[in-house]
Amino acid sequence: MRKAWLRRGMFYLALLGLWELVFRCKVWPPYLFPSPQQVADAIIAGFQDRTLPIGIAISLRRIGIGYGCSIVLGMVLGLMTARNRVFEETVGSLILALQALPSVCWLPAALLWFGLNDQAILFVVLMGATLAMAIAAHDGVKGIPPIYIKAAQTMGTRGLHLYTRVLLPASLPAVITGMKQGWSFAWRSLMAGELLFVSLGLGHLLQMGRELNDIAQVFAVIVVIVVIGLVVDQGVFAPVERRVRMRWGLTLPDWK
Amino acid sequence: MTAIELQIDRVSKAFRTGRGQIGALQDISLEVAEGELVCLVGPSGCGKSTLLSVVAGLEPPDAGQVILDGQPVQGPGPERILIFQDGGLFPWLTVLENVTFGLRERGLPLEERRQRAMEVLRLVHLERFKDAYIHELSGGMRQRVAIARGLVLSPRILLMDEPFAALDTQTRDLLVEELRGLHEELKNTILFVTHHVREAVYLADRVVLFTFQPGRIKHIYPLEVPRPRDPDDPSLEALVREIVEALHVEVERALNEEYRRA
Ligand SMILES: Nc1ncnc2c1ncn2[C@@H]1O[C@H](COP(=O)(O)OP(=O)(O)OP(=O)(O)O)[C@@H](O)[C@H]1O
Ligand SMILES: [Mg+2]
Repeated sequence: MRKAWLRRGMFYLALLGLWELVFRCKVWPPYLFPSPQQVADAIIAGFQDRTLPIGIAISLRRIGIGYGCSIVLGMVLGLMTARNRVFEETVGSLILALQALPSVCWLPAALLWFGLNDQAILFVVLMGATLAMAIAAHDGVKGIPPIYIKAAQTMGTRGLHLYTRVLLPASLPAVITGMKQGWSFAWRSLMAGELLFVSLGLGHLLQMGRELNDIAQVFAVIVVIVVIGLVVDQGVFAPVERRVRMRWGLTLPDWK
Repeated sequence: MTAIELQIDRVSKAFRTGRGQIGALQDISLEVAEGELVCLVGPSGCGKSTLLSVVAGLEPPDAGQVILDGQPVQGPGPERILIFQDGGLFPWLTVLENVTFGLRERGLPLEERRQRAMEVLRLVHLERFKDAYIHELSGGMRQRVAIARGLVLSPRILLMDEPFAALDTQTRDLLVEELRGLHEELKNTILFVTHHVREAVYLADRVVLFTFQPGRIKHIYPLEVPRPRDPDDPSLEALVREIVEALHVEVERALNEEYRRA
């Protein structure tokens, strides 16, 4: 564990060194390729003039709402398609079909429907994460050994309890993996959506960097977007996933 | 014996598969008295598990019916608990939570659930493991939890489908002994599927021998010897040999049938 962190740290340090080296060799002109120092300064400046914290807050708020709704909606859709043949054949096939479409393609339609506002972006986020979530939940429930359901039924489980006390916990490992995937879909969809019109979020700051010809700012925002995505993935999902898999007895021993 | 509790009345069941129709059960009739322990033996694939599923209400029969206390069985219910070959315990719950699961469905308050579950866990000597997760237990312990999870609901009928099949002989002998003790104490009606004729003769009030496809009852062997029985009792030994021989005939028929098809 500690070793892994050490290796990771060394790797990123080396990467930073390489970046600095490329900058110093002047492979590309500085207005196209900033130094690590310039990017760090841009991040600090962004925090000082509050544009970054505000952008982060706006984007996080959007993803909170959009992703939260996606999870609920995706779970419901996944459970329904997994348990009902007709739903699976109809709605299920539609979900699979739509999953092939990058969610940002919905933006033009969303702008026409909702106008230039948050709802349009939320719609894009929803389309990005809900489908992935629904598919994961569907597969998770389908993969539950029937013996669990039978055992519960003989013990008197009926109706809604079958979902809340058996299907949901039994598919939780798969569902969490789906949530993790849904998160990255949601985050990517949000950034794509925010890029495309004046929206005040991080994606918009990225676009502003381009308009101002400020490559350091563009890089600074990219770094922030990546870090947020990574922190949520590694800081929230990875430990939860590990805990659940351990409790469900799904982990393999580590060979040293 | 006391009143007839469970009546399996001319039950037939066939499965349609890609390779044609498989007659799992044909015209099975069996009456089981309250508190009776009946062992089912027969060649692999003769329909023993199918019969238990039908009695549990997990599979509808094609013809015939199962009657419990005068009421025809329609669907699963906690008065008929099926204990599966590999347990079917919930890995997301602790031992205690597994055992209280059915009581919770029944709407019992938390304190009473815990108390009853602990009593049953004590019966199977697992009270120390109440907070363990299922994957932390040995195979034998898991089967005991599965039995406790069934027992705690005080079912009228306990349906046990080779619950000890996956265990080593020593653990198995221990658990068979434990089951005998439990039956003596609680007097549940038990339908017990096993491949071990010796085990069946040691435990049962009656041993039912099945034929292979279609699954029919070939013979029923009653046992009058009081329990606990001496495993070396010569009269039991003779019966074991008799059943094993009859079983061999069926197993051979089953194998021939399978080779002929293949
Ligand atoms: N769901 C099913 N679909 C199709 N065929 C089935 C199904 N369940 C059981 N069968 C078939 O019915 C027959 C009886 O199966 P069953 O599981 O009841 O046998 P068994 O006596 O319990 O065998 P074993 O001792 O090996 O457990 C077998 O030939 C099996 O292939
Ligand atoms: Mg079987």
